[in-house]
Amino acid sequence: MKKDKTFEESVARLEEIVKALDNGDLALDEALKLFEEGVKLAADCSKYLTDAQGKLEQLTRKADGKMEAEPLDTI
Amino acid sequence: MRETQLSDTAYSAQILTVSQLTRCIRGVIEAEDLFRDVFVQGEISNLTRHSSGHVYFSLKDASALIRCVIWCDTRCAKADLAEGMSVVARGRVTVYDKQGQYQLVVTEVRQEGEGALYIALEKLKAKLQAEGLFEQARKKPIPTFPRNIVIITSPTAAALRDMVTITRRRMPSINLLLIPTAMQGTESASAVVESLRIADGLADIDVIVIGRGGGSIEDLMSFNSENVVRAVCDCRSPVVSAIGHETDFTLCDFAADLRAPTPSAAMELIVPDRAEIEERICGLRDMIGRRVERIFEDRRQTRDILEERLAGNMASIISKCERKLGENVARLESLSPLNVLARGYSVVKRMKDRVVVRAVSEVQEGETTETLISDGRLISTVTEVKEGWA
Repeated sequence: MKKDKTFEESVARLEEIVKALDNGDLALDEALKLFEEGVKLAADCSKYLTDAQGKLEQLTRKADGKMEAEPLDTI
Repeated sequence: MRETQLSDTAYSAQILTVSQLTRCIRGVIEAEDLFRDVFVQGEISNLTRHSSGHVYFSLKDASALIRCVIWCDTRCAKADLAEGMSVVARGRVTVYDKQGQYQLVVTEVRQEGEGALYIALEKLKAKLQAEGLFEQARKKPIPTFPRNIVIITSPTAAALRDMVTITRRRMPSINLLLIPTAMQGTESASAVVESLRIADGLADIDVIVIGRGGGSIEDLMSFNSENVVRAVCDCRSPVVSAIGHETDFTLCDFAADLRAPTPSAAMELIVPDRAEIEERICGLRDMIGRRVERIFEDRRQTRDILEERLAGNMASIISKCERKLGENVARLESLSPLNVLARGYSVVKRMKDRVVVRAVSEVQEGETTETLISDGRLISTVTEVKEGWA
């Protein structure tokens, strides 16, 4: 998933593409471009969903007073 | 004698056992609506905590006393009561047969000062409400697909485990960050405020959840603190209040962008279900595929139609041309002077300038004309010009 596009935006863009493709006057190359973008977005989204397990961390205060995230294994 | 009189009366009426009489008294007392749920104010004395967990004491004021009991399975059995404490007890009046005593079975007990606390809470709520802090309009939307969730809760609480489990089950890729925070006791309000500030200062935070399992209203007083309410309102990230108590609200709930009845419910609300989303993405991809296919099919069809039309047009153009050509040829043929002459017509020209004569006025008497006939020419002199054919 691209950094500049959140998952939410990607899904919104997919919906936009579907709507754009409903326009019958679309030029063929335009339609193809949208198709390619859509397929790639869908693949990115699916990849995001099946991404490795997210982190589970806890913030703890270090001796110097700074907060630091540490993995939290047992809960 | 007094006794004889008594027995006379006794025999004429029904004789009750002590138990029967006590039961009757109990019946009368327990049938009285006023006694079913009553608030009594008094001072605690003779406080005893039995090893069974039941709590016995008396409530008294300057001129009266009532025995009270708190059964061990009542929440307030663990309340911090002390001899001489002035309280308001709530309960129902019953009779303890064995000692011939009426008593108050207490369901709730509050220090008298707590009544003032409740009034203060209502005042605070009204004040914050007047400031608009609970307005629907200022609530921030919870992102549909949060990536990073901060959990403010006690690290030892079952609530945390529930929240992690539900998140992992619904959307394993979400990152969870716990900010261990005291959720109970007098320092918990300031602890929650600090954790909120820390959480809101972190980068890329999608939503903050304040989670706490169930507890008595006393346990949850921190979440009614003005500082907590303001800290929640000050957060730039959306805040979910998941203070476990189904019936009552805390001020923190009112201030939060979303309120969940329990920590588990909070995660169910904010963490999207992976299977559901995957289905949606697949659906969108298929829709895109079908639409592009249809566009291509449409275009193919359009091309076919155009081709057909073009072919049809050419044929009709050609046949039109052929017909026109035929007409022109026929016309040409009919226009050929030789043809006309062959049919017996002739053409007269003036001799002097070879101009075809179309009207008699164009020649003068005595003028020389040339007449073209199919096989030769006649040179003549006009002897007379007559208009009309008669």
